[in-house]
Amino acid sequence: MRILLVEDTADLALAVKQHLISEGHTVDLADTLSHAKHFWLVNCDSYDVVVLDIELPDGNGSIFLEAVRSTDKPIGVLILTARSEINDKVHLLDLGADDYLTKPFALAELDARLRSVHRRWLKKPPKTLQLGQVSFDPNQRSVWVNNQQIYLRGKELKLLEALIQAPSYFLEKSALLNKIYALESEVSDNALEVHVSRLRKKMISYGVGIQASRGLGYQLVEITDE
Amino acid sequence: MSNDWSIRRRIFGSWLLMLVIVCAAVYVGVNGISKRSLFRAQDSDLKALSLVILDSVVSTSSGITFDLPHSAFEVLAYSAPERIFYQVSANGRVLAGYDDLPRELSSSLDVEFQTADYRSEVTRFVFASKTFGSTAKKRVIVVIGQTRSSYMAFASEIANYIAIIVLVAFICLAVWAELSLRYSLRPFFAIESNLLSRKSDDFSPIPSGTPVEITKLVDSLNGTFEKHRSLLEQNRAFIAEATHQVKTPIAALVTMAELLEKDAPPALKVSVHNLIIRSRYASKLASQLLTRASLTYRGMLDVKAEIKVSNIVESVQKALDPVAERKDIEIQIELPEKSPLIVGDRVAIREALVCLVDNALEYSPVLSDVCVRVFEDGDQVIVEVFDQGPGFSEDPSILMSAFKGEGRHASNVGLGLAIVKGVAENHQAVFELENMENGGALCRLRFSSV
Repeated sequence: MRILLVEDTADLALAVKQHLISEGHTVDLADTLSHAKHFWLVNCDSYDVVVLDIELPDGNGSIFLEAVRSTDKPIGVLILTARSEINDKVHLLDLGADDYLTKPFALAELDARLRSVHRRWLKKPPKTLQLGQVSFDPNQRSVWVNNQQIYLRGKELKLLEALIQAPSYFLEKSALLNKIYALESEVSDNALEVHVSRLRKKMISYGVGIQASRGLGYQLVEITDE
Repeated sequence: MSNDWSIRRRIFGSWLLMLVIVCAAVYVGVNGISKRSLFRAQDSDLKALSLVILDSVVSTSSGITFDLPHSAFEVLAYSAPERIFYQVSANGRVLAGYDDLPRELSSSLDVEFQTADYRSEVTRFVFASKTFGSTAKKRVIVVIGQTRSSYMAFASEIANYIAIIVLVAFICLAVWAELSLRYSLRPFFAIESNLLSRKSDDFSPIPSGTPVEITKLVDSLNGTFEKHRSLLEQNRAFIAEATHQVKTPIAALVTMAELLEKDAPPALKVSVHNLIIRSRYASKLASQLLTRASLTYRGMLDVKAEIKVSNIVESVQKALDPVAERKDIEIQIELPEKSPLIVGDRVAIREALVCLVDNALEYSPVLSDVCVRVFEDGDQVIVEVFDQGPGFSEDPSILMSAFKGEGRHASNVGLGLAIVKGVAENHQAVFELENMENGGALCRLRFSSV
């Protein structure tokens, strides 16, 4: 993703930027409202998400939010706010923000919300992996059912991606675990079962099931009426 | 606070007392005057008759002679249907009439009046005397008596009329007094209505147009409103500013510590990890302090409305799902088909549920479920948050106190459950904590349904 990060607290901004870059994103950092407007004028077509702090030294971030939303560009906006007052948050959501993250936050939560905000503005690509009604776009890592995007968590997406890429055969548990967990992670014995169970619950209403076979692993199958 | 006296009752009471005194005085005065007029007329008639008789008295050598003017008696009888008695005496000897009439004169006046009981009736007597002869003096006394029953009856009738007139006047004046009081006190009622109808966060001044007598009072009230509005505004601004000032550096600290942990040498990893944990705890505590201050402020404003519990639960699930995802925890929600309604502050109840779910997420093991269940039980709407964690290790009543613990570990003191308890108290809801039979903690809020 290409992200415009608007944050005036230098050490926080640099730390977040460093983290986002380490996650594979491209980040432009603006520390003032005018700086953000400049980036927007030059690169507005290339951004996927704007991460916007509200308290900026030269004005309120909501002005920039209004400017972003006055265009019809499909860009997600995630608000960073230190304010606890819900009215402020409701006001920002009304102005067109997709989500907000209250400071301080964990980087993992920032990642999760960025993914969620980004997915909201995705359009279904022409080419996807398809099983029944369910389509999976490996590039954008998004799931679609009848042109409507559905929300899945990160590990569920990885699991679905692995299964939908191999619709005609069973995938072994170890292979699936390697797909959804980093190698150095400590994984509990039933972790895969829990994720499979949760994904199965979510997908079954869309006509897709996950078939288990002892010793062979799991397979994604289309559920038919027969 | 009960207060038995009122300005209206006090003024009305004093006016009523004054009216009673005035009406009584009018009644007594008019009644007395009318009686006196009647009796004076009777006295005039009696005196005239007695003088007519006395004028007819002639003293001769053969004795005293006189005429009784019957026509005068008839006139007296026409003026009032009373019994009439007479007596003519000379030097104490009764010449004509009733001999048992009183004849003692209390003075030497020519005409004198007396009232006495005669033959069981109140009777008015007139005594007229005349002395004849220069040497052998003869004193002739004419006594005329007339009963007074018809005069008394007439006086009583007049008194009744006066009483009725006074009573009607009294009632009219009392009604007028009440109406004029109400009219005069209308500005007070308008101010009362204005104060009662305004919301707790409405500090607008009382509209102008109040009478001069209460201008200072209204100005004083408006001044107090302005002070409260200003104070609350300062508090609100302070909370917002404090939030920003406290949370931003903590956010930088936590984020930098997280980055540092990735590349920290093994010897420092534990320390950096502990730094992150303590930083997060500090940030959480700061958030909770500010949340509590905000909710206390909102509690003062009393911003309550009908709200759908299910919507709040869904909102909390959506907000905390990324937090749950970090530990691969699923937030399950069980909602009834039709969302129950309660009266409350949407923001406060949402914050309470955020505290409960956040607490459950913190103490739940990875890959477990945290469940939020909403259901109706009679006239109550119950919201339960339960998890698969270790449960509470302390007495729930202690856990609900501020800084006495978040319930699971002594090192994690906080305000979360105290915030929930405060929200519950502000909504007259019941907040319960218990450990479940299969393990895990259960937090329950019981609200009254609409």
